[in-house]
Amino acid sequence: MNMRPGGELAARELHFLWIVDCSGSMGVDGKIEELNNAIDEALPGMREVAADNPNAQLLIRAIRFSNGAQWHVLKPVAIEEFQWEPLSADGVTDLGAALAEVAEQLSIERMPQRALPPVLVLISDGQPTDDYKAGLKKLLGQPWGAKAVRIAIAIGRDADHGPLQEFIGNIEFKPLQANNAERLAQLIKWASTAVVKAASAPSSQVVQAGPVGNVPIPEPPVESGESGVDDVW
Amino acid sequence: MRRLFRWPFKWFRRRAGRESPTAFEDSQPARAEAAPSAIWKVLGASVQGASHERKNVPNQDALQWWPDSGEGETLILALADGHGSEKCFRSHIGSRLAVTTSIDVLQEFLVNFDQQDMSACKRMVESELPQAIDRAWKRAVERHLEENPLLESEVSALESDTARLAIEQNPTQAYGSTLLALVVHPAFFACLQLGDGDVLAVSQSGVERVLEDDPRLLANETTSLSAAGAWRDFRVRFQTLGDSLPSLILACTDGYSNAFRTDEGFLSVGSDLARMLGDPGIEYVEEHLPHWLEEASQQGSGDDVTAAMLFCLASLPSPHTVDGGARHEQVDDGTSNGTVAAPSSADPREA
Repeated sequence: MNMRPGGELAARELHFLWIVDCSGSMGVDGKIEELNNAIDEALPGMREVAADNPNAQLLIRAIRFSNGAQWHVLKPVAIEEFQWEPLSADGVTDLGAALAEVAEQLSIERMPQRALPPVLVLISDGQPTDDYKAGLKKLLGQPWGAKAVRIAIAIGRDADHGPLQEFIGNIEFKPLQANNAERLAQLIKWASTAVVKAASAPSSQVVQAGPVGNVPIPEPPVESGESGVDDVW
Repeated sequence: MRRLFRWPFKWFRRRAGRESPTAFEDSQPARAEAAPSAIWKVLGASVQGASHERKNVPNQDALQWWPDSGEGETLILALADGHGSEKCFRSHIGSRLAVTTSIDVLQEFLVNFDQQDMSACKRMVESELPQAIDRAWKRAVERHLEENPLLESEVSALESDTARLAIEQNPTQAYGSTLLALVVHPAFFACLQLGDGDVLAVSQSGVERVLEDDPRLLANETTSLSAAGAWRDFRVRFQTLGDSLPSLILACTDGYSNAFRTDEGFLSVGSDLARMLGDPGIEYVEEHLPHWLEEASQQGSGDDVTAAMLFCLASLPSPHTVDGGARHEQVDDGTSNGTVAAPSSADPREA
């Protein structure tokens, strides 16, 4: 006889969400194309990180925002099966609508209690055109939203760091700046591998007062080459 | 034994044997009944997590009980889960100190409490024990730090200046740990919990969590003995024991519950263990428990896993009454290379 007590064993879910600015300005100078390429090229690295930690099940979703927000991938897809469908750019920058949608998906009722802290990666090149503070309030009002690892990548010099910093909610961690395709690819790869690795096996953290990070975020990669020389955005 | 309590003055007056209690004290409803004493037994195990094995990090959990024999009318059980974060680089020591100091405090409590006044006993458990444990653990950490000051290499290994500064200002944080401490006594059961982890009680009416959930303990966040005023974060349950004893009380660190796909799957551990202690029996459970916990970590949470169970020998189901007379049978379900337990859906799964 060989029995064990209890029900089915399973790895803990790690939800990873891309929150992508698809406003018209993202269509200028090839930003959206480079973003599509960078995410697609980062997938093999994400699969490797997932394979290295069988105790976390990495699930991917994506939401785009321009005129309002639409789910690009609503149902969480296991990284092993995930394929990136290219996004296109058009319209304004309704960040608040996207954050409100994400907040709904991260509600206590929709997320398993035993999940790992979700990872939210926000990518934007501009300034919000809607009431982003209302969307952010909804997101941070959800326990899983408040405990999520929140990363922000600013594309180009016109990106407004203020809302991105508010989204991160951790004064020790700033929005990451990408002014060219190479840097964007570097940061997307880092967010989808190094950050995922840190979030997939987190140590216990003492309950803190206020929104500070509960997963130690690894150091972002240093930009190669002379700063500003290759900037195109 | 070093005195760990600050016994309230009123407590000593009552213990001094006043023959005329006040009207207020007369109005207290709970008094211990003279019940026949049950013999309790404890068994448990603690295993290094699969993720800690991959990173070559020691097991951060600790487990201890008193008396060492693990059997008696009165038992104390303590489990602790060191946080294991970069900043808590001595949490494997912190968890050991948590179990030893809490057992010291509870032993002293058992020597001194008034068996004839369960209301006072309840008040002591709820209001004094958390503070006593908090104080004792922090004193033990201070002693450890005096004998083993922080090493430059430990502090410099921290990545951020903020973390280094925080540890230098408050080195107790390096020892951060949770705690689950349980006492079974002929007259009462007490459970004290700080931080994550689970305590289940199994009875004929089913499996229930002994303590209310703490909504702050989501994702990887926990309350901790290392926090200032940690005693305020304790959750406490005190229960007098009458004729109806639970079949089993199961305490475990969060690495166990996080290993199951659903909470129902985890809760069924309690009822499954209660049945298995009856049939195939205690020795079978004791022998296989470490393997089950390793499996839970490898196929589930990846975390260190510690589980211990208290059970009353007289209230275990006999082999002939398991599942109301049904026995586990070995059947081939056609989907695996082994057998599954039958017949109930709550029966133990195949290992």
